[in-house]
Parts: sequence; C-alpha cells; structure tokens
Amino acid sequence: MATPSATSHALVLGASMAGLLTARVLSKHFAQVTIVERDVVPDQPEARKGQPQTRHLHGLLASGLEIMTRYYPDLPDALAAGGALVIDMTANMCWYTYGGYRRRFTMGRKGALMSRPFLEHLIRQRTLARDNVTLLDSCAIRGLVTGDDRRRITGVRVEHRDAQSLAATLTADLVVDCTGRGSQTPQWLLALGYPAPPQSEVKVNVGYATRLYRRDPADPRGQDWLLYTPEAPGERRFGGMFPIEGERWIVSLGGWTGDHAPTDEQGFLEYARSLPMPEIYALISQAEPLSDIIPHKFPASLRRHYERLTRFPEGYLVLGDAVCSFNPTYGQGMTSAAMQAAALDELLTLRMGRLDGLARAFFKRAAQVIDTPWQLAVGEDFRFPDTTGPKPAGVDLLNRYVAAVHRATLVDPVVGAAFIRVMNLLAPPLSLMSPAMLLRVLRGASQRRAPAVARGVERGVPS
Amino acid sequence: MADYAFTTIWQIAAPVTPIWTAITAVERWPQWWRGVEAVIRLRDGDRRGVGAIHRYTWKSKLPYRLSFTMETTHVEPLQRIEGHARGELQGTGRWTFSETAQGTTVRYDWHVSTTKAWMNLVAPLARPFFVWNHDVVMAWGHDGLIRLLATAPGARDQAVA
Ligand SMILES: Cc1cc2nc3c(=O)[nH]c(=O)nc-3n(C[C@H](O)[C@H](O)[C@H](O)COP(=O)(O)OP(=O)(O)OC[C@H]3O[C@@H](n4cnc5c(N)ncnc54)[C@H](O)[C@@H]3O)c2cc1C
Repeated sequence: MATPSATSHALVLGASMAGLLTARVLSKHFAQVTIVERDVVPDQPEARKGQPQTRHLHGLLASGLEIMTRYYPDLPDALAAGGALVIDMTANMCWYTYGGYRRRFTMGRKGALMSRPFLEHLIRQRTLARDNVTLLDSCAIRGLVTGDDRRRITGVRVEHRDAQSLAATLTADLVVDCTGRGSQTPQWLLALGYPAPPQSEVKVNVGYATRLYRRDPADPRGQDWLLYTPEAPGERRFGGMFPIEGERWIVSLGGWTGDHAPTDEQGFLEYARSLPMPEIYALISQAEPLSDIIPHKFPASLRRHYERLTRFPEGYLVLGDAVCSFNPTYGQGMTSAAMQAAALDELLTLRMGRLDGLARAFFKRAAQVIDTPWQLAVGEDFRFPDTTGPKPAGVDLLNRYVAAVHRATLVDPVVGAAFIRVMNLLAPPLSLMSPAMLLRVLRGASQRRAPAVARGVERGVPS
Repeated sequence: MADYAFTTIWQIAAPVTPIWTAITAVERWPQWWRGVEAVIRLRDGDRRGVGAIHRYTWKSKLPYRLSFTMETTHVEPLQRIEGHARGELQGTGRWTFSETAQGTTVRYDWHVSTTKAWMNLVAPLARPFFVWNHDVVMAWGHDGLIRLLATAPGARDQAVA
C-alpha cells in the first residue's frame, strides 16, 4: 500500500525526544501511530535507563522551541508554569569565553532552560493525548520484518521485557527508527542484504559530570544562566549552570580530549574552581547539593550518511540521534530532531501521504538539516589537535575567523547577536561573513576587553 | 588595495571547439555557470570580439555580490582571450586553451585587486574567504561546463571518448 488510508498505521521505535516528535508529526498523516519503547515509561518527569544523557545539562535552542511550539502550542506556557525558564536567552546570559563575557543584548527569540526529563514529560503528555497515538512500553525491538522480496519493511519483531514468550510481530505501512545513537538499523540492513550507511565519526572524548543544587529564588543570580566555554586548544574545560524547575540549578562540568571532571565532591569543586569564570564555583561552593555527581562519557560525534545509500527498503526511515549524534556541548541534538521531524511533516504533506520513494527524499532533507549543526560542532571540535575524524573542507580557515568572531562578541553586541543566531540555528553560518559583519568582527577582535575580574564584580558576583 | 592572483586549470575530455564556443558566448554564462548572476553587453567588439565590453555580476557562497566590467583586449581564436576588468575588481583576466591527447586544457589567470573599501579593509581577515569564494565559483564553472558539453546538441559526438 503506497498511500495511507483510513486504516494506515505507522510505527515509531523509541519514545524519547525524536520518537515523540515523530509520532506527533505522523499522527497528522496516519490513521494510527504506535510508539514502541524498551523502557518502562513513567508518567512523570524522570530520566530512564535507555536515555542516560537526560540527567545532564540540556538547553533548548530558540529554533527548537519554535518548531516544538508549532506542534504543541501551549508548550512555552506549560514549561513556564512548571518553573522552567522560557526566556530570551541572550538577555539572561552570563557566558564567559575567550577571556571575557559575551555582551548581552535582546534577540527577541525565546529558548528554554529546564531539566530534560521535564521537557520530555510535557512533550510526551501532549503527544500521547492525541487520539490516534498509542505507547507500547517495556517492549524491545528485536528486528525488522519484510515481505518476501525484501523490498519493503512491513513491521518489526518485539519482545516484552518480562515475558519473552510475548514476542510478537507488529505490522505497519511506515516504520521510523528513533532508537538513538545505539540504533541497530545498520546491522538490520546488512542482515536483509542492504548496504549499511557510511559513517563519519569525529572523536572528541568529551566527559560530563553533573549535579543538581538547590536554588534560592530570592537570589538575583538565579535568573541568569552561566556558561564557560574554552578558548581552544589551550583551554579544554567547560562549565554550565542553568536555573531549572523546582528551584534547582543543574551544573555540568567537563572537558574535551579526556580532561574530565571528577565525580567525588572535592574533585568536582576543585574542577569548578579551576574554570576561569568565578561564578560557578562561587555559587556551588555555598549551595546545597540535591543529587550525586553523575558522569557521562561522549567519545565521538557520529553521523550515519543514509542520504548516500542508493539501495534502501521502502516503508522505513531513521530519525534523530540514530542518524546523527552531535557533541552535546553545542546543545543541538533535540533541535536537530525537531527539524528532522518538521522536514518529514512537510514532505508527507507535499507528497499527499505517498510513501513510495519517501526514504530517499527524506534522507536528503534530513542531511540538509543536519549539515549546519554538524559543521558548527565538528568545526569547533577540530580546534583541539587531538580531535580525529573526517574534517570538513575549509574548517581550519573558518576556525581562524570564528576565533575573531568569539573575541568580537565580547565587545560588540551586534556580532554577539549574529553569532547567537547562528548557534541557535536561526541563521546560516555564512551570515557571519556579510560585509558589515566582517568589518565589525575585524574592529571588535582588535579591541581590548575588560578584565574578567572587573566584569565579575560588575555583575555582583563575590570574588 | 588588496591584490589577488589566481590560476585555475580545467582538464576537460572534449575537443576545444565546443569549449571555446561556450566560453566566448559570455552572455549565456548565467544559463550554465552557477554564481554568474548576469552578463550584460555594453559595447560590441570587432569581428573577433576585441573591444567588446560586458558587465558581470557574481554571487557565490558569501553574502555579497561583485560587479565589474570586462573589456576584451585580445583574441586568438581557439587559443587565447584576454580582457581588462574595471569596477569592484580591477585587473586582467586571460583564458588559454590547448588541446591534449585526453581533450582540452583550459587555463584561467586572474590578476585583480579589490577596489571596494570594505573589501580592502577586511582583507587581512577575510582574504582566505575571498580566495575560497573564487575557487568555489570556478569549480561551479567547471561542473557547469561539463554538464553543458554533455547535453549540448552535437557536443556528444564531438566529445573525445
Ligand atoms: C551529555 C549530553 C548533553 C546533551 N545536551 C543537550 C542540550 O543541551 N540540548 C539538546 O538539544 N540536546 C542535547 N543533547 C542531545 C540529546 O540528548 C539527544 O539529541 C536527544 O536525546 C536525541 O533523542 P533521540 O530520541 O534521537 O534518542 P535518545 O534520547 O537516545 O532515545 C532513544 C530511545 O530509544 C529507546 N530504544 C533504544 N533501543 C531500543 C530498542 N531496541 N527497542 C525499543 N526502544 C529502544 C531508548 O530506550 C530511548 O528511549 C545532549 C546529549 C548528551 C549526551
């Protein structure tokens, strides 16, 4: 069957961010959508076993929030009502890099700071509230099912976590793999006689260590988000401290190329103290911890080039981290998933639901969506000499320029605005190369910046 | 003023005649050469084309346009064309063509300086991008030309196998 009918059915594998957004999109185009998830899915904001990264610092970029709001119009209100910060991120920014603070300004576009499980909880509630969306949890996907000629994926084999005897086959007109970075699709394709996608792997050896703290709602510092990013390659640590719901702070410290933060109390604090930005240490050395210190290792960014395959079965797609898992320090993963889901929506609308040849068209669009964040992330990563992997053409050239852009953002809010728009995936990177911007960057990069300590005092931070 | 010297070499598996025809028909470049927004004839040349003046507008990856005029100063059919640029770029350009066993070698030498104030100001920072921009445009020209030669009527049987 090529066109979804009144009985059409779509299966989404994985009920994390990409799976939920995809199910929401498909609910417009299919009579019935079923999400299959291996974990038990709680009806509350809680990190699950299958998505350990959700315990760590997660910000939602402005472009991501805008796309999600298209599908869940009350999302910003629900976030804010639950205690998340839905704000023009540039107005509350305390971002130290290249030896200074980026200038604040108002961008007029909102992003969101909250715990990742809270965001996902709201998205999940709203997705599952759709009449034609069902969640089947505690069911692991074991493999794909095809017709005799293996041209089309017709369903999946699932196994219930408690009763392996309850193995079953689910059939569908379209199956979308949203099982994240660990996706088995390459192996499944090989087993069916299809080629696996070529991969780009950029080794960064990034480590996170994360802890929650109580946040005093009366403390004015609790409305700012704090970020320190390194001037590579000399510096390789980062620190982020975001105000989140429940009057808490989430603090993630870490570094590139193996320079990771320890997970014992003393080591963690020392690491915070080592950052050139004093604010994070000043706050956490006095705040009450609310959790253990949890580590997360991110060895490499991984992109699977499905768009390069010439043979691929009908009735099957891959979306989200399963296609591209970015170095998380740029905060792009959820937004990229949202952009891919929105691209799928547009495509299905354009094709009036026709499914034949969908994969090729979708992977082409997904690759376009992924190209920019991939370039941004990998580009920065190659500032570190230990980074290995396929280096996109022109990266060294661009990096020299971007270093000047970073410096200019410390003195010129117009450059700051242009840069933040690019990092929020609201403007293409080449917008930083307009004549006016080149001139400002040149001027800004050569200006002397105020010393860090003085700026800290200006912001009312104890030294 | 910032000076730039570029040399681009294309090895093309086709005889020189259709290539020469494509390159000399400058007003048709926008149809096959991505990055060329417009070519407008301002003055006719003589029988060979010497003395002709055209205005070119280019736009490639970077978010700005470049515009200049070229006056054809020298033409040796199937071998060489030279011209003089004035406007936002100033200098000389030379196409040379030579047939080889595999097809044709096309060489373009472009010696120019930028006259736009901002381009000169930012040259210390942006020079590599201007160079890159030029390379991109020339690569598009190469790809466009190959496609043109493959589809142009009669070009296929002329092409060297
Ligand atoms: C430390 C860290 C920090 C990050 N910070 C940010 C940030 O600030 N902003 C941002 O936008 N992004 C961030 N990201 C990226 C973001 O977490 C991911 O991009 C996002 O979670 C991708 O969602 P996904 O649904 O594609 O995959 P995942 O979240 O990995 O979900 C995959 C799902 O599939 C399920 N599953 C797996 N295998 C099977 C199977 N066989 N059968 C059934 N179910 C299965 C899993 O249980 C899980 O629920 C960060 C990532 C990390 C590691």
